[in-house]
Amino acid sequence: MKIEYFQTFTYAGPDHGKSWPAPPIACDPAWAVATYAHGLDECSVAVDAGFDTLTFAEHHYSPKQLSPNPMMLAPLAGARFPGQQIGVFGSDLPIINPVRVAEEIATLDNLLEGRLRVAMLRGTPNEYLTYFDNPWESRERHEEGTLLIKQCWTEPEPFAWEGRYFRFRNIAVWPRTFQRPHPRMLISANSADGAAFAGRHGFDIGFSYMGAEGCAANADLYRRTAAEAGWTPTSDNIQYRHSAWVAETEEQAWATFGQYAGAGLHALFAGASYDTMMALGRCGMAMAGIGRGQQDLSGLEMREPTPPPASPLVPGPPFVGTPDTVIAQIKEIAEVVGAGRVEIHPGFPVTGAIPTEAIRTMIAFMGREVVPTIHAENW
Amino acid sequence: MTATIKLGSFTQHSVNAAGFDVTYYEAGTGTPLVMLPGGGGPALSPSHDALAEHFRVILIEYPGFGMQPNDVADFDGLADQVIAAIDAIGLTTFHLLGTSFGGACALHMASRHRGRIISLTLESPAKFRVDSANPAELPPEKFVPAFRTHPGRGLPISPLDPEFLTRVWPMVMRLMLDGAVEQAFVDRIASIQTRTLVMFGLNDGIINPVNGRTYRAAMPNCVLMHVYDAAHDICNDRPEMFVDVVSDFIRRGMNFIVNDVDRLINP
Repeated sequence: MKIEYFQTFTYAGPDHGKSWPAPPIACDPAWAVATYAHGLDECSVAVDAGFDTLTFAEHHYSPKQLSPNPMMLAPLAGARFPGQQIGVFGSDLPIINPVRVAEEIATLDNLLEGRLRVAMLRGTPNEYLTYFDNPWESRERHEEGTLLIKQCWTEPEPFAWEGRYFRFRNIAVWPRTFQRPHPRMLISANSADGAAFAGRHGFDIGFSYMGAEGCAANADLYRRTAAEAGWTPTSDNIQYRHSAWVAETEEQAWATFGQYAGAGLHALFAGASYDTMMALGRCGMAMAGIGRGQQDLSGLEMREPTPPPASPLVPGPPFVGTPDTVIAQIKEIAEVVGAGRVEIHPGFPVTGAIPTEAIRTMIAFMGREVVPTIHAENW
Repeated sequence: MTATIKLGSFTQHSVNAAGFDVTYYEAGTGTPLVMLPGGGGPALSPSHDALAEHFRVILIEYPGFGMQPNDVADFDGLADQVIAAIDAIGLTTFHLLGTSFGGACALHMASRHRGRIISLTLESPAKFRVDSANPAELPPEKFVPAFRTHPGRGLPISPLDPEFLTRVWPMVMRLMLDGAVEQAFVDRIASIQTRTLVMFGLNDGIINPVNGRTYRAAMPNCVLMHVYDAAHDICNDRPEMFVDVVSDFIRRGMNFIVNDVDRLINP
């Protein structure tokens, strides 16, 4: 089994704020510089600890993840850590130009000489407020954009694309991807639609934060649709992402995790007002396929901010505890879901950045106490 | 006639050409657009009606697809017969759109009568058919998805009529050959300067869309277009798109690769 390190580049400065979008005035460039330096240093520890891949993601307008364009961070890591596998997991495809993404990844694949896997994702609900995109179009734009990118990498002649959401009359991506026919592509299988889409088209799948049982159902769907399409995924095609904090004792692990996790996943992208929270919730409902006409929220009185509507995502427990506890959790994911890759990020830094020294110590500890077992096992 | 077809805004006509009574269907006014149907024979879809709102559309039934047999030996011969029919209709220059079998015929016309053709649109052209299927041999469960991603749109789709197959299909197969890429013909189309649009549906189960590359690689004035969410029968799978793109290409020629859509939100 493989284990991957997700570097989120959480802003290292003292004031994280509590809402999305965070006011840019709160960002001190000196701390931003430190954030990237700390992040790459933490990657260095992860490489030494034996993590198989360094991964990066796209998120916007937030100190929680200072990576609006992972294409700019991945080559830095690739150059600093020769031979290391790099993952861009991923691009928020429905809100950006897919042909541009195809060009950037092709460039990156050549810079890394093939040490690259990528994900085509839909992002979190707040992403749709980033560039004023329609969240109800999220799924269809994602599927079309993904197939357009694949076409960009596999079509040897210049071509035009006449899609439902994308129209290009002149495409000829240079450079060609280093890997042929193209870098491995991962699709989020948190939804059944995503799992089936990946199975039909021969892509990898990834789960993030979901409970094992929910993942298992979608993984089965993935394998069934893949079989119908004439291919058989292995565990290496299935990835699982969650936050982690490992320490000598359960109490130590939970104390650190709890100190920074705050209100959890929802607090990552919480709106500043009730109305903004409801708008974010509306984006989430739109991404889940709930129609415009089914959620008229007009006429509500102004109230104090409350958590947004429950997400259809049922989170699983983070990888928190002693090495034995976390290894057992990963084993369960491997056995129940069939995942051959687990991707972790340190803690859940919502209330403030976890000190980089603590992160480095924890990663090194995982390198001694967890990573060798994960590598040795074939669950 | 191949079958009774709904005429919509079209009217049915006939001319004598090359020894045949050639049936054709016409609607609209203005710039002439000659359309050559697929191997299943002429059918008038909502796309034809929509195109006829902008152009003088003429859909031709091939000699031999009616009750008179046609022992023409090859596509060059059929191309000359169709040109004779167009002469009889009275057109000198025209835009040409060929679908599938009609795309192959249109390509031969363009290579032999290039001064007549203003623009050439090939919808799922069947000249090159590497790794492709013969629709007459497809089992029923594969027939519909090979042609349509959205069978509920446009004209109803059904397997080819057995009587039509018996009467016409031998001629179709005789002209289509094996679909291999012959270098001599590739060299021939390489000299075609007519602006050309080649459209393939990504889900085409009849002609593998990879065959589109051959046209794009050989023809100097050609755009290869991949159509998302469509199979072989593009004009019925995505009729609005089809009319939009074809109209734009006919009106603007190769300038249709230039985006002239106004993006100003407010002055």
